[in-house]
Amino acid sequence: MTAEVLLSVTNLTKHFPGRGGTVRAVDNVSFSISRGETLALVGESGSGKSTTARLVLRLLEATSGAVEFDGVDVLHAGRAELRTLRRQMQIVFQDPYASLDPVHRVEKALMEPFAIHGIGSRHEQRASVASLLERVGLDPAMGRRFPSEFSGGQRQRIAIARAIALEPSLVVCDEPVSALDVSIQAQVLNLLRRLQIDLGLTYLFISHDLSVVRHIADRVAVMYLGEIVELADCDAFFSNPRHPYSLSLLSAVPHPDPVVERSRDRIVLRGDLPSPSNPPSGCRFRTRCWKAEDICATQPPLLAADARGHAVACHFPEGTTRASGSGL
Amino acid sequence: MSDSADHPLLEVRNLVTRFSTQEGDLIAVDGISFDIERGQRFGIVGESGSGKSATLWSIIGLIDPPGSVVADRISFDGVDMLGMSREERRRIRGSRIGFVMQDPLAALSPVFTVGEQIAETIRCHESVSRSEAKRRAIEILDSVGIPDAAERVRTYPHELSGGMRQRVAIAIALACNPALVIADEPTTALDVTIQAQVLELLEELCKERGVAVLVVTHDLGVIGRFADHVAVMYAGRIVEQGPTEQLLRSPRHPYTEALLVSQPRLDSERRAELPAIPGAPPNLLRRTPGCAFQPRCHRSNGRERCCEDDPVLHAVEAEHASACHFSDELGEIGAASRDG
Amino acid sequence: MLRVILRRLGWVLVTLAAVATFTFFLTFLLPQDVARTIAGDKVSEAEVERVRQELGLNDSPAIQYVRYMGRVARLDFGYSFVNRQPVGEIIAERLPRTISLAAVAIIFQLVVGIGLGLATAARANGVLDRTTLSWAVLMISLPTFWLGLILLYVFAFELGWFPLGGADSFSAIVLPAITLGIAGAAWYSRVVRQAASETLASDFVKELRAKGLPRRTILFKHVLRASLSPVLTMMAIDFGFFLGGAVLVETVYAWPGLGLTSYQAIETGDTPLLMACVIVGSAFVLILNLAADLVRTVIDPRVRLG
Ligand SMILES: Nc1ncnc2c1ncn2[C@@H]1O[C@H](COP(=O)(O)OP(=O)(O)O)[C@@H](O)[C@H]1O
Ligand SMILES: Nc1ncnc2c1ncn2[C@@H]1O[C@H](COP(=O)(O)OP(=O)(O)O)[C@@H](O)[C@H]1O
Ligand code: SF4
Ligand SMILES: [Mg+2]
Ligand SMILES: [Mg+2]
Repeated sequence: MTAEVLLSVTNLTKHFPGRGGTVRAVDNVSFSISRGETLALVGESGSGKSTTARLVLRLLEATSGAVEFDGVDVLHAGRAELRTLRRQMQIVFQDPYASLDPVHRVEKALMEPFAIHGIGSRHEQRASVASLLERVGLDPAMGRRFPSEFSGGQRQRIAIARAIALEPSLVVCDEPVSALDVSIQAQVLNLLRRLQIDLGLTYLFISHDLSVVRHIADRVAVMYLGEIVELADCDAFFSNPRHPYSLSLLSAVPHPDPVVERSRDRIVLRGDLPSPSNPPSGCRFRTRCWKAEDICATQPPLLAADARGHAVACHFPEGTTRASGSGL
Repeated sequence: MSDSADHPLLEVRNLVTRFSTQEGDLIAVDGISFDIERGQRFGIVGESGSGKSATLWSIIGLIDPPGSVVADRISFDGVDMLGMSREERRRIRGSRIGFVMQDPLAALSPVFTVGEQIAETIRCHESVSRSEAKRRAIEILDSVGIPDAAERVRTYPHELSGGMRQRVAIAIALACNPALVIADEPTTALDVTIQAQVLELLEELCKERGVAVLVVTHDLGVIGRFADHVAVMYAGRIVEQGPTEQLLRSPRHPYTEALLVSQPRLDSERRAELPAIPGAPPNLLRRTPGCAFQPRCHRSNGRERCCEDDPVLHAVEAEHASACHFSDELGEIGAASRDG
Repeated sequence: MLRVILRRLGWVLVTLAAVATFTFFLTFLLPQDVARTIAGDKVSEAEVERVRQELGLNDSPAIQYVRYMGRVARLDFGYSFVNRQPVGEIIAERLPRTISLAAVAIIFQLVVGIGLGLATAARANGVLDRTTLSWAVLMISLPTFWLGLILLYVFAFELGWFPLGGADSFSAIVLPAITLGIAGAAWYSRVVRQAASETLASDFVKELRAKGLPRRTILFKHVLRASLSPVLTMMAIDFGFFLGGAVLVETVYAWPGLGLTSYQAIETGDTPLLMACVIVGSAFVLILNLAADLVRTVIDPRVRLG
């Protein structure tokens, strides 16, 4: 595959100074996303997913590293450049209740992106809003209503409509269905999928739910304590997860079929996520890892890809022997 | 104590919980009935607003005005709870029935140590000395898997991680050796790896102490993992009920079926479009005649009975009941309906 | 923790020095001839000049300032212009009166405020709740001065239950203390009610009920403790103000404390006494503010002293 790379992130790092020491929220994270692709970022809460997203969009200034979007250096872009970039990179947040201003009609919220960038007359903006609402499966007449009159699922549709208003090429979705009811999640996932096909969108899709990730992603990056520990094609990742942390995450997802559930090998991790201001030496996962040996405490494992591009940062990854024997 | 053989631990018959609001009467729980046996792991599953929490609070007598509870029977260990005085009901709460809430940070007092909060529960139900209560607090913390329990009794909730806090909440629920622990979305606020720990803990407690556990959740995965019997709630009613394995493998209500197939799973076939459930749950203030699920139902096809007759919960097999007029049309979710 | 307290104490000293500086320069702006005030109206200009010399009033402001700050640092406030008594002695004599009045007023304020706050929160929108609300509105809008006069008229003059003024008997403290504390009591009752109602509706009270705790334990142990923090902060600040001198109340009741002293000092143009009153009063306000923050950290372990 030689698809065109839209976003490339290199050694991105963000440290927050704090009382109990510096919080290393994102540490040397590198990945890239091709145009039209969906890269999922998964991990427990506090692993640095949202911070990564905010750095990429430059809603937060990075400590170090580089972000290149469509050939533009995002972290050093000037005001004018940033303005253009902001049109092309949009975000949808988890909480649809917090992301819409309750005192403005939905129509106004949706016209805002056009107004900010001075696109079209008021009349044209209205027309665009109507077609946007239709596009996300809402009645255009609903634009006259206030956010409080909508359910959580509908609000998330509105948030999505706002994100796609200016026809961006990249949309960052930060846990877009986590706050929604189970019977609504599938609707929103379907909508995101269809918009991607229709508009050729590229997604950076953040989620802690592996079932959702498996459904929507082309590639998966697993984060643990600010670092990417595994990065692979979706199929390869789910059929052959290689990092012990990925394995434990997958095994922790409960299955609705009790028969399947009983037959699974269950790995229950001991303990909690260590403090990001004082991460363990060597491999950050070693304090919860059942495979850890002495080397894990001293030598930080590097993210190394095998011949098929399946990258893992572990001294003892799963399934090393079969294909290429790389990784050790 | 009454003979434990001839009646279930908890018996709920025709429970109705309503809230009077400015826009009218809201029937949050609409005539539900179920039994929980000793040592059973019972699950209630439903989306938010379906009346799960209202059911739990009704059982332990903590629905406040403007809410009101009526039922033909709510009995615990053979004793009618509805006929009890407030004081008698208070004495059952926390001692015979333990309660675990969804968000342990909000549920624990920020200004008392974990040990004080456990000891307080013990001392309010049993006449034991301070030091004895403290000793038991340490013991119980240890039994819910908190390392260095003797040290941790002195910490405050905000000093603990989310998973540890939920363990503390479970410790409080278990402090007086209850026969039933009720847990309202106990893992919803937690990460999957921590959720797995908490579910494992609850399972062990059931096995070792013979406690019955009533778990409420919106996650069918949690049900499959934990419960041996399940009730599915929709718009304040139980629409399907039965042994977990049977109910989840061959659901007999379209809502259960649709929930099962609409959610992506780790082992389902990947496809572009999920068979989503259209629409949204109904407004409980304006109940319409017929089946509450009808506007979203993929099986109804606008059939008259669905729109006019209220379907009642009826047995479809031993122990398995469904509230769908056409429950016979549903069968095992085979490879065909599950994956394509 | 100790470090933080010491640092905060350092700030108290810096602030006090600023207050002292401020009051010192204020005296220059007053259209008052200090030497003339001391010497009296009937003496000759030469005599006034002699007083001026003696007090160093002819020196440059800078020199006067340095001299003054040096003395304040040694807690030496000089001599009263009026009766030439050391100011320190006057303050030492009047301060206990003010402390006892402030203490009684604060206790009244706390007990009534918290009691009513909890009672009204437990039965929101009941008769008591609505009555205390109107009372609170009335008390907060009514000037203390008026209220003092009304109470004085009714209970001391007409009914004769309490002495008309002074501090000679124990019962003399009742009316001034109530006058001083009643607005605060009303205010506290609303603050406690607000905090307590929020706590009562919170998840953690639900949990306490689910644990089977009796209602009074929930109310008097948990809800009280959770609602106390805003009141304690306010209390410490109020106490500081009362100690700093409740000028109006002490004047109305002729209560011989710091407040009355400051009032008299203003009347007679007794600058050293007035400045001493202001500095001592500010010291109380500042130290009690610090105390309030310390108490908060004890009550709520999540609060850290910053
Ligand atoms: N503004 C901030 N200041 C200090 N720490 C922060 C800030 N934002 C995030 N963090 C910390 O960075 C880490 C990663 O947070 P986040 O990116 O939100 O994780 P995730 O989205 O994976 O849950 C956490 O430990 C969090 O506490
Ligand atoms: N105190 C209350 N006053 C009014 N309505 C309430 C109250 N508590 C719950 N409800 C309503 O009752 C219905 C069921 O709520 P709940 O039992 O909390 O659902 P669940 O726990 O399944 O999410 C909802 O429509 C909710 O709005
Ligand atoms: S009764 Fe009709 S509408 Fe209701 S679930 Fe059955 S088929 Fe669907
Ligand atoms: Mg996040
Ligand atoms: Mg609930």
